[in-house]
Amino acid sequence: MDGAGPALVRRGSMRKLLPSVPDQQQQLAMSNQLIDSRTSSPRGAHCYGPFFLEYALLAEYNLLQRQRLPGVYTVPAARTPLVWFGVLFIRQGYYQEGVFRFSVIIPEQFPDGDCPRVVMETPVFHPLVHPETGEVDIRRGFHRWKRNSHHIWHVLLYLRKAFYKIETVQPSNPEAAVMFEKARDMFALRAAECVKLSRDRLMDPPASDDPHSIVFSQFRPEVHEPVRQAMLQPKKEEDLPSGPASVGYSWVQPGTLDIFSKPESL
Amino acid sequence: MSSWLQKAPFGDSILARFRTSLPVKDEVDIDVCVESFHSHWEQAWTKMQAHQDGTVAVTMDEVNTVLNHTDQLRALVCWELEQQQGSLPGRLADLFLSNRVPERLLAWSSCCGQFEPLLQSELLRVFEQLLRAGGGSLLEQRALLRPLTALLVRCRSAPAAEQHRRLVLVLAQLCAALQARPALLDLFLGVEPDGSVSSCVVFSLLVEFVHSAGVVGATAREALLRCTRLSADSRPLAEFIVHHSDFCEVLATGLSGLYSALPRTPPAEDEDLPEVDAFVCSLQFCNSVLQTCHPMVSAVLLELVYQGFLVSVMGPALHQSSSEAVVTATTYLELCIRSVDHPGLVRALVRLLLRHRHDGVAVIDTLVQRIAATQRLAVATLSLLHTLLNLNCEDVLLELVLRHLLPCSHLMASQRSRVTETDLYGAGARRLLSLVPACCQPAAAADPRAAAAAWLQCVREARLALTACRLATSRWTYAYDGSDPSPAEAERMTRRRPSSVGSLSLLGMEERGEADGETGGEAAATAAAGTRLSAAVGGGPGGSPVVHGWRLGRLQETGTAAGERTGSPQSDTAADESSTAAKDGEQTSNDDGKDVSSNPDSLQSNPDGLGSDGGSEAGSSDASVKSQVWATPPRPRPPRRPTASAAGPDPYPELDLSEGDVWATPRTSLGASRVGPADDTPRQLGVLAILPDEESSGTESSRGGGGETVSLSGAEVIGEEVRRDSGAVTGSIDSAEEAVVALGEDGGLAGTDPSLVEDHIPAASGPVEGSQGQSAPDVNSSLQSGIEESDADDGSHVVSLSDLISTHCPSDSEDDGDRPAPVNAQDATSSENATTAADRSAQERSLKPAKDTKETVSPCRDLSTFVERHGGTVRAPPPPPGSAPVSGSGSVPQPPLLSERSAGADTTTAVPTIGPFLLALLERLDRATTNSLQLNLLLMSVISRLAHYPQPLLRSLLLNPTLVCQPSVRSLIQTLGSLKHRIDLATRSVQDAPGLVRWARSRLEARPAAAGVAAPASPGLSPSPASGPGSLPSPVQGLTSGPASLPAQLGGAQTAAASSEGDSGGFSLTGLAGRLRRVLPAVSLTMENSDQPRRRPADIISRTSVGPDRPEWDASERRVALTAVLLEQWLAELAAVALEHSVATDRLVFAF
Repeated sequence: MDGAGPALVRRGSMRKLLPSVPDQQQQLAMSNQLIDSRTSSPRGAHCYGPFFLEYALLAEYNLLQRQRLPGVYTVPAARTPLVWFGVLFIRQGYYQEGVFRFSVIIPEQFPDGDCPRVVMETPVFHPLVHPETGEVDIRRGFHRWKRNSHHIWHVLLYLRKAFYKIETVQPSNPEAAVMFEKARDMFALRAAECVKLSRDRLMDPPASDDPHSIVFSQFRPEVHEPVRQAMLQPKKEEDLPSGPASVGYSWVQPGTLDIFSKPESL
Repeated sequence: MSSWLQKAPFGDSILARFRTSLPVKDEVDIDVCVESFHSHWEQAWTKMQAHQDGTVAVTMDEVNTVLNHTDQLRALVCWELEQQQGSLPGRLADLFLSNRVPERLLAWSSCCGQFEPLLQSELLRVFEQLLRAGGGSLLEQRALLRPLTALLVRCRSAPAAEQHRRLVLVLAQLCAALQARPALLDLFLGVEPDGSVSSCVVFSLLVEFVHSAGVVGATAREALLRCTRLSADSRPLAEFIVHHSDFCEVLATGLSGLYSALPRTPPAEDEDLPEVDAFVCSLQFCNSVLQTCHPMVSAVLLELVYQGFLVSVMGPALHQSSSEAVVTATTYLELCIRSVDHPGLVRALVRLLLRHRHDGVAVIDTLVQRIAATQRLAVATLSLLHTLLNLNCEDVLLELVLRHLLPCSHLMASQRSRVTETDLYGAGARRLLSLVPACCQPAAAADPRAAAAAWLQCVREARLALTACRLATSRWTYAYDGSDPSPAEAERMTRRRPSSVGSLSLLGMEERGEADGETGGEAAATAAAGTRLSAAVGGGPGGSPVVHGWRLGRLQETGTAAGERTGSPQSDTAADESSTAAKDGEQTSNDDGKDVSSNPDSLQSNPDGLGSDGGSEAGSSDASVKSQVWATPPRPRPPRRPTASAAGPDPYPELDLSEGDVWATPRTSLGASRVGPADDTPRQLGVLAILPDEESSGTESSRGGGGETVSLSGAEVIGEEVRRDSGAVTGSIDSAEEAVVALGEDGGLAGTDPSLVEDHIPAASGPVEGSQGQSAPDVNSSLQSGIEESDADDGSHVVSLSDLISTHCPSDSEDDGDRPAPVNAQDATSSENATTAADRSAQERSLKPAKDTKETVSPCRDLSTFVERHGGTVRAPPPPPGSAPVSGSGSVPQPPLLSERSAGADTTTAVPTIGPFLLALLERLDRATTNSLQLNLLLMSVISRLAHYPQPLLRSLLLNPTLVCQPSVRSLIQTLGSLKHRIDLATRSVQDAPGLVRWARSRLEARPAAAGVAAPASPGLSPSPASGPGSLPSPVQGLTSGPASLPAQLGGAQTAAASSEGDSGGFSLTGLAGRLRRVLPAVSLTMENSDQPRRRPADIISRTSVGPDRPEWDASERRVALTAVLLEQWLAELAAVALEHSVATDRLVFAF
C-alpha cells in the first residue's frame, strides 16, 4: 500500500485485507463480533451496559477512519474491542522507511477511564518508547483523558508525530533522549537500526494469534492484484443492490422548500 | 399421405373439426401440400359460392364443411410458416393469400345468417393461429390485413362472450407480433391527412376488455401492456392513445368503479375479497402501464388518475361521515400506496395526501388530527402514516416534520450548532434505557443471555433499517442538518413565495402552487383530459348532474386555458378575489366530481356528509353554503386575535368556526353574488368558481402576492362577521359540542379522565343538520356503543369513553369538524397540564349561549357586502417571521403552540414548535396507558420509523437527550419521561406488581402466536399487494420491528433456551404480521383491539389461557402493565436505533 516492497496482507480471508477504510460487511461483522464477544458477561447496572463500550469504540473507529491519518493503519482485534492492532509507516525523518507494528490498548472504562496505551511490537529506540515494555508515552499528550474532547485518533496522531518530531523531555528511554540531544549521529544510527529491524521482522508472524492481527507477506499479483484493483475502485452507491423500498423519493426542487416543485421526471 | 389428407374426415358436428390436428408432418413434400391445399380450397370455395347470392339458407352442415376445409388450409399454412421461420411467404401462404381465402371467408360469413358469429369466431381462430405461427410475417400482406381489420371491426359489436375471447386472443397475438416488429404498427394506425393518428383498431378493441374478468381481461391487459410499451417508441401511437382513445379515462374511471365496489367496512381478515383483488389488479395494471408507456401517455393517465380517482373518489372517501367508512378508506389508501411503485403514481398518491385540500383542509392535516382520534381510526391512520414514512420521501418528511424543524426554533439558540453532533458514547441510548419503567427493570436483567440475544436482534434490525433509510434518502435535495438549508435560507425560501409567507395568506395556496408548478404547465392538456374524463364518466353508471357540473367546469377551464378571457359575470371582480375563489372553486368542483366518478354509492353512504357531498345537497342553500364554507383552509388564523389566550374562556371553537367561515365565505358569496340567487347549487358555484382557475394557473406568476393578502384579509374580516351571523353553520356544531361536553362530564363522573375528552370536543360537531336534537342522539348512541366497546375491552371505561368522544370527532370531522379540531387539540394540549377538563367543559359551555344566539343568516349577503367593503382595505398582519416557515407553505395546521403563546405571536420571534405531526404523536404517546395495545404498537412503530431517518434535525430531536430544546417544546425524551413517571406511580401501589408485569409479559408473548394463527387465514388479502409489481419489501420490516422484537425481547426461559429459534421466530412473525398489516392493517391487528367486539372471545380466551389471571388487577392496572412492558421493549429498540446512528457512516464499499 505504501509502495514499499512487501504488500500488506492480513491473515484470513482476502477480504480481511486491511484497507484504511474497511468495507461495510466487514464492519458489520466486526461490530457483531464486538457485541457477541461481550454479551455473555454483562457488567454494570443494566444488561445493555457492555454494548455501549462496543458502540463507543466503533464510533471512535469511525472517527479515526474519517481522519485518514497518513501512514497509520489500525484494526480492532477480533476477540476484544479493547485492543486495536496497528502499523505505522514512517515516511521521513530518523525513522524513515520504518514499518512499526503496535497495539492500542484501551481501558475498560473507556471513554471515562485513563488514556489508551500504545505498545510497540518490535523494539524501538526512541525517547518516548520504553526500552523494555515497548510502551509509548502517550499520556504526556493527554494529561487527563476527557471524553468528547479526546479521541483515539488523537492518540494515533500523537504516536505518529512522535516519530517525526522527537521529544526528549521526561523520556521513557533516557538513553535515547540523551543520545538525541548529545550525539545526534549515534541516535540516527540507532534509529536506522530500528528501521532495519522492523523491516527484517516484517514477515514474521505477529505476536498475537488474534485473527485480526496484522500479517505481512510478499506481494503476489495473482492473489493481491485483483483485491488491489477492487480497492482502487470503490463501488458506487448506484451499483448497490436496492429494492424498490430502498429508493427514496424527492420532488423538492433545489432552492425551494416547496413540495412537488420538481418537474415530474418520467 | 396425400390421400389421407384429401380424405380428411368431414364430420357432421362441429366437434368433428377438432379431430383434425395438424395433419402435416415435417417430411411431407411441399408439392403434396400444395395439392392438398388446392383440393381443400376448391371444395370450400364450391360450397361458399353456392350461397354467394344469399337466396338459399346456409345449413350447419355446409358451414362445418367449409370450416373443416378452411381449417385444413390454416393447418397447412401454419405448418409452412413454422417451417420457414419468418422469411417471405412460402408457396402455401402465397396460395392462401392469392386465393383471398380470409377475405372470401369473411365475405361469405355475412351471408350465413345465424352462423355468422360462428364463422367469425372460427375466422378469428384462424387468424390467431396464423399469427401465432407466423409472427408478423403475414401482416404485411394486404390480403390478410384487410380482412383481419374488417373482421376486428365487425367483432367489435359482437355480443357473444366466446367471440370476445377469440377476439382478445387474436388481438394478443397481434400485439405480440407488433412488438416483435414495431414497423408493422403503422399498418394499424389510421392516419389522417394531417399526419395525426385517428384510429388504432387493435388498441381501441383491447381497451374495451381492460376491465373484463378472468382470462379475457388478463389477456387484454397483457396485450395492452405490449401496446403501451410500443407507444414508448411510437409517438403517433402515443398521440393516438392520448388524444383519440379513451384508454386513460377508462383506466381512471375503472379505478373509481372498482373502488366503489370495495366493501364499505373493513372486512374480516379471513374473508376472501375478490373486489379487493380486482381493485389492486387494476391499480397495478395502471402502475405497469405507467412503467411502460410514452411519457405523454403517462402524464395524461396520471393526471386522470389523480383527478378522476384520487381526488374525486379517494379524497371524499377519506372524509366520509361514518368512522367505519373512514377507517376502511384509510386502509384502502394504504393498500394503494403499498401496491404501486411507479414514481409518478407514488407521487400522485402522496400529492393527494400532501397537497389536496378537502373542504379546505389538506388531507395530511386531517390525518394528523386523526392521530388523536378513536383507537380504530388512529390505528388505521397511523398505519397509513407509517406507510408514508416508509416511502423515504423527502416531500412527506418535509411537510410532516422537517419544515417545522428547519428554522431551528425548537432549539435553544446555543444548541443549533449541535444538531449534527454524533452521539459517540451512547448518551441517547442510555437515556432512553433509563426511562424503562421501574416495574420492568429487575425482570429484564434476570436473564442476561436472553436479554442480550433480544438486544442483538434489536440492533440488527435497527442497523438494517438505518442503512436502508440512509441509502434511500441519500439523494434528497437537502441534508436537513441545520445548515443545508440553514434556518435563514429556509426562511428565505419559504418567504420567497408571497403565498406562503403569512399564516393568513394561504388560502388555496397549495392548490395554486400546484397549478403553478404542475398543472399550469400542462393546463391545456389536463383540462382537456379532465373534460374527456368527466364526459366518459358521465356516460357511465355514476353519471349524475354533478358530473356535468364538473365537466362544465373543466370545459370552462379548457376555454380559459386557451387564453380566452372569460366573459362571465365575475370577470369584473377583482382578480385576486376571483383567483382566491377559483382555487376553492376547483376544489369544490373536484369534490363534486368525486361523486361523479362512478361512485354513486358514496352519496348514500354519506347522507349527512357536509362538504364532501356538495352534490347531494344541491338545492339546499344551507347545505350548499356549508359545503362551500368548509372548503377552505383553516390556516389563516390572525395572530393578533385578542381573544387568543389559553387561560381565559376558550374562544377557539368559535374562532375556528369563524375561520372556516372566513375562508369559505368569500367564495360562497362571490359565487352567489355572481350567480345571483343565493340558493345556487354547489355545482354551479363550483363551475363558476372554477372559471378563473385557469387564469390563475396560467398567469399566476404575473400576479402579485399583495393581492393575495388583501383578499385574504378581507376574507378574515368577513369571517368575523360571519361568525356573528351565520348560526346556520355553527348551530350544529354547538349542539354536537354540547352533547359531547355533557358526555365529558358524565364521563368524568364515571371515572373518566376528562382531559382525554377535550381534544375531541370541537371535532364532534359533525352532524350536518344543525339541529341540536339531531346531533345529540348521535352522540348518545355512540356513547352507548362506546360503552359496549369498553365492555368488550379490558373494561377500561376511561379509554372507551375517550374513544367514544373521539369517535365522533374524526368521523364527523372530515367535513366540518376538522377546523376546530386542530386548534382545540392544540389548545387542549398546551394547557392540558394547567387546566382541568372541567374548566374546559365550562369553557365550552360558556360559549354556547353566545353561539346559539347567532341564528340563521344569509351569509351570502353579508359576506358579499363584506367582501365589497373590506376586500381591498384590510390587510393581514405580517406574520411572525419565525412562524412563517413553520406554518407557512405547509399544508399543516397552525403551529401547535400558537394559541398558547398568543402573546408571542404578535412579536417577530419564532414560535418554537416541532410541528403538528410530531406533537400529535407525542400527545398520543402521552396517553399510552389508555391506548389499546395495537395503537401503542403502531404509534411506537411510527416514531421508530421517524427515528430511522438520518437527517440530523430529526435525529437530534428524537434521540439526542443532551440537546436543549426551548422550554415550550416537548421532546420525545420528555414525553417518555413523564410516561414512565406515570407508569411508575400507577404500578407502585399495585398489589404484586412483579406478578402483574409477568402477566403482561406473557400476554404480550402470546400475542404474536395469535398473529401467526391469524395470518394464514387471510389468503385473499395478503397475496394481492405482495405479488404486485410494487410490492415493497421493506415497509414491513420497519413497521414490525417494534412488534416483532417483542417475542425475542421478552426475556423468558424459552427465549433463552433457543435464542436463535427465538430470533427466527421473531422474523417470521414479522413477516406474517407484516403481510397482514400490509393489506389491511386495521383489520389484521385486531387481536388486541378493544374496539372490536367481535374479537372479544379470542381476547378473553387468550387472556385466560395465557397467564394466571389474577382477578385483583383491574383493567387499568393491566393496561398500565402492558404499556410498561411494551415501553420497555420499544425503548430498547429506540436505544438500538440511537446507537446505530452513532456508528453509521457513509461507507466506501469495495467490490470484493
